[in-house]
Amino acid sequence: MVLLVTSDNVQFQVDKEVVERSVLIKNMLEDVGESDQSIPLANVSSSVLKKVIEYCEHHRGEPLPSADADQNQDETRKRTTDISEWDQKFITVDQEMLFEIILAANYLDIKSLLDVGCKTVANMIKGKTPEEIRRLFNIVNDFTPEEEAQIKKENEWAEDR
Amino acid sequence: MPSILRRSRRREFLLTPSFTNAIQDKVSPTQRFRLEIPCSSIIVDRTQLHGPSPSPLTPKSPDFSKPSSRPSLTFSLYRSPISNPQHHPIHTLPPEILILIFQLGSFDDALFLITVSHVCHPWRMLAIHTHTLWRRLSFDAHGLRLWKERIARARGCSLDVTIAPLQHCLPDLDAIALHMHSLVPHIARMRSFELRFSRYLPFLWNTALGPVCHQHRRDDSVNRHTFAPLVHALQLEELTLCYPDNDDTKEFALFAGVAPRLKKVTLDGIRLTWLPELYGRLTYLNYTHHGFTAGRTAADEVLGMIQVSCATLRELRICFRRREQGGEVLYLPHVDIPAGEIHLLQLERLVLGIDKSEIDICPELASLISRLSMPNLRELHLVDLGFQRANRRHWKPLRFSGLRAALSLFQVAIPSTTKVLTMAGRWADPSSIPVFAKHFRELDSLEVDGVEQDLESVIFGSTESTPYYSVFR
Repeated sequence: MVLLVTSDNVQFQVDKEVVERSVLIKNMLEDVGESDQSIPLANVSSSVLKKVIEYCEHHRGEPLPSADADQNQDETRKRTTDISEWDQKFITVDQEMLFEIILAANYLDIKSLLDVGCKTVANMIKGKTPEEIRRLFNIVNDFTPEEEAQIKKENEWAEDR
Repeated sequence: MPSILRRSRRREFLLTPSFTNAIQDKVSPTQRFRLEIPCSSIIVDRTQLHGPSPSPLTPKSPDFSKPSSRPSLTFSLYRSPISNPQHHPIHTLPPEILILIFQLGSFDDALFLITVSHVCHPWRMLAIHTHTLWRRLSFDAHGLRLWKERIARARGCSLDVTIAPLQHCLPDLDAIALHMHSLVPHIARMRSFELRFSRYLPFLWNTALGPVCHQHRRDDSVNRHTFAPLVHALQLEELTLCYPDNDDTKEFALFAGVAPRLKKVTLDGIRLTWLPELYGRLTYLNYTHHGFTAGRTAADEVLGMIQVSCATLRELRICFRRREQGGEVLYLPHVDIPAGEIHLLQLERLVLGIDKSEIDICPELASLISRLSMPNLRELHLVDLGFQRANRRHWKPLRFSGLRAALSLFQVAIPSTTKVLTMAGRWADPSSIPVFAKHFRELDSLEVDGVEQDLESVIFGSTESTPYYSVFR
């Protein structure tokens, strides 16, 4: 078992096989060898870590993506925004939690969870107009007139058939 | 929180995401501001921007052909209104995660990147200046201008090109020709090239592949024709050409014979001139025979191809499909087919497919396998293209009458050291499996109709477990 301590000082005892889905923690454990010391996770709160552990528990035993997966063209080229049923249910959380999970997955280096989070955001954006996206994410339209003119042109050729 | 964690061994230095995060933690946004502000006198503070009113300090719209006069991306993101903590949590995402979101969203939506680049200035800068996002060119309903714009925005990046009209749409020959011709100047940048046609249209291969085949150019100094370097696919790694309904028997010589990085090829319904310069370094070949030749001629044709690629092949997938032909098709072998075996010393995975229209094991397949030597084979997969695992309970096909003879032949041709065996559909005859599986003395895994089997019970007929065929058939 591995002891994790969150930013709000909550301790979690987690099975090594589960926690090693995080490349960050896996590397830490490999570096320090057998140790009873706790691992501090200064960037992850307890509520987020609970969700992350739930995800890792469910995907326990599944093969981890290889170290050079980023360079693997097959993987990067053929990925889609499809999300498995369980993952979809798991990631159905409020938006604040969704983005915290994404940040935690990035920090802990859990590629599959990062993908699930980012696909969810991509799916939220899909099919929406720029104005709807701005409203969804509270983004200010800060384009200059020149940019607005350029965007108008782009809209014309994007609508070409 | 103090920790006394210590390293027990030295780790090789790699710039992993977790390492990058650790570095980023050390550099706070405040420090970043301090570093960049001195060189930012021309930058507009967009947090004060209330409307699109022109200002003498307003930077001009981006011009992709010139170096940007914009501030750096990091600065731009931090200075924009979205850095305000009062705003939505999406603004806490670092640029690399936003890029990942843009990338994932754009896989199956050609307009995704255009849409996000119209949301706000930071997103626009991020999308436009991440050239790799634009490298995927897919032929769709959005016209040639979008196709050309993507090529321009990808700048120097290699390109992944896909032309696969939707299944319910007839391919538009004119549109395909226009897209292909606009691609010709960029063939040297293609990293992957995929053409898939599921509906029949005459002269389709000719239209699509004409521009990437050899082009003659007169070389006056030597008074002969030479190949134009324009169609050399210098970066091409993966080629997919599938058009099962093709009736054009013409042989295509692609890329003027130059694709030095080509490793992976998938073909269905096409005849290609199998040049060693193009196909001599393949590690993966997925080949469904065009069907214009049959019997010994077909087997020889495929053997000739394998002979060219045999030195490096690691995975070979073969399927023969029969076709009703009006007349004889001329076949001239390009390489001498050896009388003996062809040695595939690197081959680890062999997949033999049976088309759903077949009523028995193709003699071409048996003939082909009997002439291959694969001493290092690890996996044999016998696949029935008419079989779907989801429908296996209702699957009642006619058995292949030649199955036993084919499996006996495989026992001679396939090394007994093979570790993985899968059999599906009409290959998986319950009475033949135990004898066939027993041949492989180092078998680690046996899968029948997509279900992993207990080797003991299959091979030695253990009475403790239920026979596999009573469960699945």
